[in-house]
Amino acid sequence: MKIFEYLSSLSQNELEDLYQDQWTCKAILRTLPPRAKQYILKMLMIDYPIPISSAKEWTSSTSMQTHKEALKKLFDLKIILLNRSYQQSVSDSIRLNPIYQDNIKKSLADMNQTVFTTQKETNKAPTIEALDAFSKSQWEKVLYFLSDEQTKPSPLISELLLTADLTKPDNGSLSITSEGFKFLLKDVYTQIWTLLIVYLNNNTPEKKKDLLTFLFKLSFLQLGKGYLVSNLNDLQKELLMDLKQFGLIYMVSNQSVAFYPTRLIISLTTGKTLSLFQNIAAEREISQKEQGYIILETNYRLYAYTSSSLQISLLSLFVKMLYRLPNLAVGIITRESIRTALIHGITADQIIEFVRHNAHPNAVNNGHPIPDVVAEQIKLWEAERNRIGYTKSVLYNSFPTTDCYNATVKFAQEQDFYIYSNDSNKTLIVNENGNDPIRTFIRRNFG
Amino acid sequence: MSDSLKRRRTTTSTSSSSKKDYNTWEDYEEDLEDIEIRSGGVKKISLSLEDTLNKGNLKDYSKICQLKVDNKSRPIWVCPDGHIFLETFSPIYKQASDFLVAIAEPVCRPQLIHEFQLTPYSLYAAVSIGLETNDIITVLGRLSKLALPKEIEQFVRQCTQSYGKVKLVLQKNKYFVESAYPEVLEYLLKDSTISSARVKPTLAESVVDPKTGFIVNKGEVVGAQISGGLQANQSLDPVLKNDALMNNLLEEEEDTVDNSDQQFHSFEIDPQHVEEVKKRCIQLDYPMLEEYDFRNDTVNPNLEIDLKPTTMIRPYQEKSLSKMFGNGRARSGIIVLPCGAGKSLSGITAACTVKKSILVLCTSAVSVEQWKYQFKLWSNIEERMISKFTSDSKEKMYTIAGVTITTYTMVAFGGRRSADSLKIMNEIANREWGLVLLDEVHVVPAAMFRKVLTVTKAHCKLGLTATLLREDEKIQDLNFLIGPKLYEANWLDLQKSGFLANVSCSEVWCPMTAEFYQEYLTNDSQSKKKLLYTMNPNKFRACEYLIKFHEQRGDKIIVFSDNVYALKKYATGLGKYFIYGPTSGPERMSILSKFQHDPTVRTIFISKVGDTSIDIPEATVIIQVSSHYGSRRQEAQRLGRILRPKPKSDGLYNAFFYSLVSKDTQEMYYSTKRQQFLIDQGYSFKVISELPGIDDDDKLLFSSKKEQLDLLAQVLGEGEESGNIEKLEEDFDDITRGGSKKQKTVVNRSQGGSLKALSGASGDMSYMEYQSKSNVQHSLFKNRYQGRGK
Repeated sequence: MKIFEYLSSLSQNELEDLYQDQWTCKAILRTLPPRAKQYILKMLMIDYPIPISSAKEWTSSTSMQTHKEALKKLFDLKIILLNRSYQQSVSDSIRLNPIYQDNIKKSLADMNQTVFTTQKETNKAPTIEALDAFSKSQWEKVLYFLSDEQTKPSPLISELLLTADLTKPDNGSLSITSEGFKFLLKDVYTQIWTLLIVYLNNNTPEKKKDLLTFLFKLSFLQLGKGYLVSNLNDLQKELLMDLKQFGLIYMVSNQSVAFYPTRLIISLTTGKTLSLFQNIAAEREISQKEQGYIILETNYRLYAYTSSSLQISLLSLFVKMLYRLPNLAVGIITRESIRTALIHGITADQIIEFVRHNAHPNAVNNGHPIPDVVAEQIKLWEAERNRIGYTKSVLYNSFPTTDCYNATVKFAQEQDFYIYSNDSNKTLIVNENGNDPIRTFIRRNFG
Repeated sequence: MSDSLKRRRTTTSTSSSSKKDYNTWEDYEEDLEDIEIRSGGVKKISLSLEDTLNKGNLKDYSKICQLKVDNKSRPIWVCPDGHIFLETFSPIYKQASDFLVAIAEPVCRPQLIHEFQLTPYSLYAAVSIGLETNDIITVLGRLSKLALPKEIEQFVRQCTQSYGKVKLVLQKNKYFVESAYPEVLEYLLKDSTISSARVKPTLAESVVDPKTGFIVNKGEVVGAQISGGLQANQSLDPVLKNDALMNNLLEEEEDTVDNSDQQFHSFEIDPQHVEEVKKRCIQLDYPMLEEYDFRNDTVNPNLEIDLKPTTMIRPYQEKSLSKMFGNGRARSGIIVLPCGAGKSLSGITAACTVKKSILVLCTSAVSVEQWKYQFKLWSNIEERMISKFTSDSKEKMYTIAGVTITTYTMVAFGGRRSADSLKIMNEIANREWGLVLLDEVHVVPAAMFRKVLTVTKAHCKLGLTATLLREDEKIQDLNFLIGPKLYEANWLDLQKSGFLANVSCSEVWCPMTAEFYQEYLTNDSQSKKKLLYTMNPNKFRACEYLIKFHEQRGDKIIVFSDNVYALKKYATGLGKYFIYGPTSGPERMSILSKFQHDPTVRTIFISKVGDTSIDIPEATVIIQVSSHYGSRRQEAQRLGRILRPKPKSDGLYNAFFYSLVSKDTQEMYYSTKRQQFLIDQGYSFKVISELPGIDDDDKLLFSSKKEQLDLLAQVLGEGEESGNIEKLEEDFDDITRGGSKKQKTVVNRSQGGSLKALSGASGDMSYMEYQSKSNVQHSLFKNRYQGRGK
């Protein structure tokens, strides 16, 4: 997950600053894979380092891989610290980061915490469906902006997209970069985190810490409940306004006394990724398996069970759309449509992965989420573009004698500088590295 | 425009040999004009219908169409432009698919989603096999996930309101005009021509309606006994009465028409005036469907023919024939079955059902032989009752009733005939045929058909083909010359059920050698370019490599090359037999039989003569070296040579189709075009950009640079014509790209009454749309027939 990548990149000091906050500790615990969670709980009450060898006993030999991954993750997050031993007799030892250990203990023991004060029950509170619709529309605005340049999101988001290299200025307007295309094909949480991290990095380190802590706290709120703005500090209030633009927080107006968390912010740190391509409201009923909506046939025709304009405009990045019906969109993959996508910097693999990832259950059951022929053809179209390679090189001609020419060609071939030669007009082309050695060679032998 | 068109047309025809010829052709000329004008009219309709389909712009119906609440349980989407999408994973897929095949044209049928298109022709066909306007609309609406668009309802009504309501039935050698709607008959009788042709019913007639004086028949719909002991289905499609569908869509009430209570009203007409009545009905916009009540035909002698007890017909063959014999009579029409799926057996079964004199028309002498063989194989007919009529063998026809097998060219031949040929020809023209079987109907140009069909008097015509597909889009004329398409099988379904071989299709990319490519880029002559990419040494090596590989596996291989120079060069280079245009009939047969029976002959080379109707069940591998531009039909036909089901072998696939193309040449472009039809049938072409180990095998020919350069010199030394594709007498399908068309016409002209020119297939003529003045009637049929009436 994107958030782990980001946290892992922080220094131990920065992380320990974060771990001062109980909510952060708890949020991270939740997000970790089950095995890592278990290891933390195993060591929770142990206050002294234990030999690393004993950790090996925690796993059977068959699941060594997951064991190592879990430990690595914990090391990366500096939750488990490694004490290197400099004596031969004593082995390396591990222990929980004391700060983390302390705070997670407290937070687990304390049953009566509340994150923020809730607002009193009012009938003005928006329904869960309304919240879902709000966050969906807010975030789709961002994506629409990327996929076609007609709608413009708030200055803050535009700025972030620019900083994140997802868009670039182009003749006074903004146009999407190849990174931007890749971004569009990712799931919604990765997308949000990508922008949030850019946002965090725009702030000073102290602020950054507070902001992260606040984000983690928000994830413990309850969907559909209103929370009082007045209980927040100034920085948090400021952040609230920004998060609203992402569609993570809902407020009736900027002056409202209460704010409402959306599903997006709550599940932001739980690690559960769901795709916006799915109607979020309906997501609860639909099991994981049924999420795919794309059928790609061997005749390059693509059928998408969708009513979302966003999904369709995403597909039209590499598909030529032919029909649009209330719950179906039909298009065809052509050489031209794929080439347009490739020119925009989307790779064949990304397209194939995208189709595979979103394949309709019937296509999956059939054993062909994406027909091999189509996948191969897309790759061939990509390869087609790479048939001409460029090498910086130097051309030699007007050799004084045939002997000189032959000897130089031989030398170039031996030294791996050789690219091309033409015997009839005594021309030799060598790569850039060969320039100096060959000049010396000619000067020494024939000069 | 139309003036200049006429002038050009006249030049074509006047230049065609003798005066006498011109006279015979004159009628066809006139008819031809009709066809062009009609098809102009048709194009207009489909244009307004299909709109931007070909331009491929996005059609957004998401706001226009209403989604039904229970859309999940329904299998199809019907778009306002007549395009239909079908989910194959729906529980009622089979029924829905049967229904759609009956009313719409299949566009593509791969694994999961099938596409269909409603066209005036497809609806015409639906009506003629007995579906009715309201049934079509109700069932379509019931199956659709979307509320049925108004446009579609209108379109269906417009196309079907007056068609199929009136039938012309030949019964006990009396002609009856028959309809289930007495008001239609009354309307027709108001016309003086028709009423004067009416014959007053005699006392012997069964039931007469006292008010109208029409003869009333009840319970007419007894399915005919198809030979082989199978009872034909009723004319209405099973989907109308299907329980599964009903259960799925409970909320809708059963309102289908129960056909068994239907009454048919009819009046007799004078045989002398049949032609006039037919013409008049067309002008009145009630074209008559012709049906042949063969069981009650006592005038024409019966033919002693039945399927052998051991002959089994397959479910889809039965289904296709049940459409033909749906109501106890025989309808004319076309059955589309993939090559190798047993078209001939379907035809023979039809013959065994009709049991009258049978005329079989095929495309070549070899295929005449094969038809005769098939007749002997599947039916109990005595050999003396079968006669062949080809340029090589002119057998006397069996006197009473028999089977005659001949070629289109023999019947349509306009020049002088030898005495015995003339005698047989007269007999063919004089006999009243119970059934005419037309093999490979898609390759024969319209004009030749007209000639053949006017010469022969047939009660019923059955066209057989694998691909109703022509690059000149002239295929729709067949609807009017023979009849509507009765049935079209789904290739993939047949393959899954094991009725077709499981073929692995590959496109092998052969890079051009540097020298050949340089020459290809710099040479100005198109035919030289063609020869260069055909003779590309790497292609030659790939071909040899594949032959070696498959011969080791024990496969039988056919190599196709349209280019005769390449054909000879390849075949002699590799020491294999080859067949092309000039190869004589007996020699062809001998090579084919060697290929079938001699274990040492594993590979043969064939030019385009082998595209159709040559039945070589042993072949399991096809390698295509050069081909006819972007002809989708040819590709499908060639694939058809190996589609006959094979005993299961080790691998997943048991037949192989390779198309060799020279990389970076025009061939790549054509190759993609050619594959389109098969891809739409659900086949997939794998690209092989490198054959494993081919570079290490220096035993292959043309491995050394010297050999390659020698070959290049030879190729460059060849005359212009070597690059051209073989021209055949039987070559009906000469439809090439725009560029070469002009040239072709010149050739045609010098040859005289070329069929290509007459069929319009030579293509440098184009036509203005024919503007219909009246919009009240559906212009499809009107335009077609009015031209003739004037």
